[in-house]
Amino acid sequence: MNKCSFCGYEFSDEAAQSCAGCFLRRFCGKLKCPRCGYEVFTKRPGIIGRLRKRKGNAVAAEHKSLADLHVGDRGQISGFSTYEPKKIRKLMSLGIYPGLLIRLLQVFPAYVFQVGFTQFAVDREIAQEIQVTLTADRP
Amino acid sequence: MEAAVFKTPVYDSLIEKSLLRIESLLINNFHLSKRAIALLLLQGDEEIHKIVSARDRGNYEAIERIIADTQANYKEPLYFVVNLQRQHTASRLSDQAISVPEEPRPSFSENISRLTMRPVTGIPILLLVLYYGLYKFVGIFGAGTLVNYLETGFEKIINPWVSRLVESYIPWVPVQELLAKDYGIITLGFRYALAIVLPIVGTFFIVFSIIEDTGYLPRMALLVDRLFKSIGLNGRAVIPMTLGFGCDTMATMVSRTLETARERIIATLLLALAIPCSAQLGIILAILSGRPRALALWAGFLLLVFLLVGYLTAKLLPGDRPSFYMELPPMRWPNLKNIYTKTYTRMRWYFLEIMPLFILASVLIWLGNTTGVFQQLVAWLTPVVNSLGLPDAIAQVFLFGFFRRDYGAAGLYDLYKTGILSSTQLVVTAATLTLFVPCIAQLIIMIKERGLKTAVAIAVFVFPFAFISGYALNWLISITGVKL
Repeated sequence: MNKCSFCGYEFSDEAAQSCAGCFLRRFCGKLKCPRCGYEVFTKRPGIIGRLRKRKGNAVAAEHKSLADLHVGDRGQISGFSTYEPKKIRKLMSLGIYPGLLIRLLQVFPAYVFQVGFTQFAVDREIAQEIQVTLTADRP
Repeated sequence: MEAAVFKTPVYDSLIEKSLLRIESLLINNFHLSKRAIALLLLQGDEEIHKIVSARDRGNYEAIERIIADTQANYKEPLYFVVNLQRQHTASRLSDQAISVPEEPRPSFSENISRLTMRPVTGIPILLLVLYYGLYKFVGIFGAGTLVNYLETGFEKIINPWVSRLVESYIPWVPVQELLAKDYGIITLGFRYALAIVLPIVGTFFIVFSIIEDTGYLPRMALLVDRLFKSIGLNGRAVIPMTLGFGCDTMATMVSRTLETARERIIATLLLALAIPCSAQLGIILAILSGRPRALALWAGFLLLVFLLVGYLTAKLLPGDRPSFYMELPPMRWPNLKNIYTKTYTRMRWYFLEIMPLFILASVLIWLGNTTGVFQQLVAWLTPVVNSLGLPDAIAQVFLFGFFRRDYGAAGLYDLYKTGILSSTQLVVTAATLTLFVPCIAQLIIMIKERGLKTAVAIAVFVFPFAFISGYALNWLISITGVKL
């Protein structure tokens, strides 16, 4: 859900119809509010912004998505950020579900983590769906 | 004791009760236990819902009400609750039986696995695997040494013998030509299949089986995932794509493992267009290996086409971005027996599928030659070929290439040995031939897997695109004056 920072209207990505036909939509990071036409910044910020966000996150909340963790971090899967069956069924059928201990092994070019005795590789989009509560800080 | 374990309820009492109630409402036989059907209904499986609503029409509404009532007790969707409870029951059971050791030091295979996944070490390893696996083993050993050996044997011993035999026992010239002579079933069909294609495909399948058996494929997938995302695929597609270097027909079949229709179409198109099969690859490597610059140009050009066409297709085709998730099995030493079985099964499949088509191609070529249809087609193709800066003889190679990609490549090899082609011409021919038509078998599989409309659309795109690219490449080489 996106919220227009000008008029406060809440709308989904699909509702931003005037962006649908635009070939730049994946890169421009903005969505046009369907009610007032204001262009709202939505997409993730650029590299510098992302680095800054990461740094900020280090002191931020305990609940994080797997995508925000650092290599070597351990934690417990606390849930998924979506209940979209298409995505979650995949994860659950692999044996990834809330309550299990997780350890992040690698973040580039894909997220590699260990759950139980098994290692998995996922892309950023899926890593963002997995919510983790950190257990122990890295030395 | 065992019975007691089985009777432990898997789900909480609420879900177990709902299950019993749904089970009692199911009347028809579904070839599955009623509990399984009830569970799938609770989890919202669309297909089962459709079947049950059709068969147990009377009770379906009641069942739906039970599902809604059950759902009302949980915050999360039922499929999530059910899955979670099942997993918890499973781990409760396994906890009783397993003791987990303290975290051991990373083992040797674990260290190797890390090395293959980190980009800094992983990409060089990937390149090494491709260089030694594909280039050295398939290209130089398979397509060079083995083909040379077998082909010489065929041409020196079998062909003259068959020709003599046919000439002395069969009086009709057309039948003689069908069996022997230049384009005969035995002298051409069998020779191509046994002496040129078999060793190349065989060596490729050996390499592929080894890579597969060590567990390296998923690691390869995660390394290329980002690159593949830009062409609308995900890392998983590395399996059909690598297999395509063996046989595009087989790879097109394997592309059905991709998740979305969009990915399957993109993969099919790229396989038809830019991935050379092992027969082509082997022969092209053998022809161009003496000219490293020509080889680099050919490979670079194909990579460019692959990425460009993939990128544009991904932009043009509607649909969601693909997602990538994969289990990484531990790396291990390849098991000889597994490699043997895998290679053997693939070779057998390939052979059973390829031999009839090689024979069919021989017959078609023979038919085309005796009726004069081919001469006409070749005459039409000749100006096209000439415009790419290639001699007339290449027209025939392209035409045969339609019957089998590898057939055309094998024809090119014959032509190369006569030494009439310059380096530029070899590169242009190799590039055009690689891009050009999916062989007839691949076309058939494309129609079978993707439907007639998609397959025809792909073919209609690939044909002119190959020639236009060949033309562009020839033009580029001539204006830049690159010495190959």
